[in-house]
Amino acid sequence: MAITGAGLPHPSSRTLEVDGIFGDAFVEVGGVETVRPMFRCSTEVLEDVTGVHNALVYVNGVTTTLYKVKGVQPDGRGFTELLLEKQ
Amino acid sequence: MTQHRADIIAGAVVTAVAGLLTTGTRVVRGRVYDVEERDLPALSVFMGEDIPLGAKGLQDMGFVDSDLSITIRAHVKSATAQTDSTLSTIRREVYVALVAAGTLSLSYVQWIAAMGASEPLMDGGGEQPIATQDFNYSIRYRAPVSDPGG
Repeated sequence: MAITGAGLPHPSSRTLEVDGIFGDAFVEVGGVETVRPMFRCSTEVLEDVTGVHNALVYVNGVTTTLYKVKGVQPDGRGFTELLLEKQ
Repeated sequence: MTQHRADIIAGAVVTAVAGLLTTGTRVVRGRVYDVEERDLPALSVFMGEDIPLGAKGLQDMGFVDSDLSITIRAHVKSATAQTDSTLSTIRREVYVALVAAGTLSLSYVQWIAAMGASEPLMDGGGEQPIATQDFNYSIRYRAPVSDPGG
């Protein structure tokens, strides 16, 4: 996954490449069939990163589907789940 | 077989709100399954309680007037638009359509009254924000005591 945001470390592209697990399982929200995209990765790789909230995300190099990080949820055991919003 | 007038009224409401600018023909009556994302924005029309006015005098005259509750639920989804604003747009379109429909072209309908709306419910639990809101209406109609059919 590539995260792009103003506070991210690459000096020119402001992009961070992160390995992890992407999922978009079915959920029902307000009577609507939808999916809940999320990305689970090591908390460590995000530790020194500021501005993850609202950063833009491409998954698996597929640049046609863009997400925005809307939630950052560390589980306290070394992993963090990023809640994503499809753009 | 002739349907109950309440059923005919509910069907007429569906017809009146089908084809609105925002929700188009995506209108389902008595929806029991989830809305498909590709069908958003959409409306669901629900028949609510049907309360006779209950005055014995009316019944003695051979007819009963009743107030039928109709709920129209709007479903929207967007990552870019303010979803509660979209709901307000739909609410206005529904209102205008029902006012224009008058008595729904049914001789036994006396009037339609807007009874307000529920709080917009907005949820970020999916891939994009989803919001719903109920628009409530009361429809007074008259039916013979002997048979409430249309």
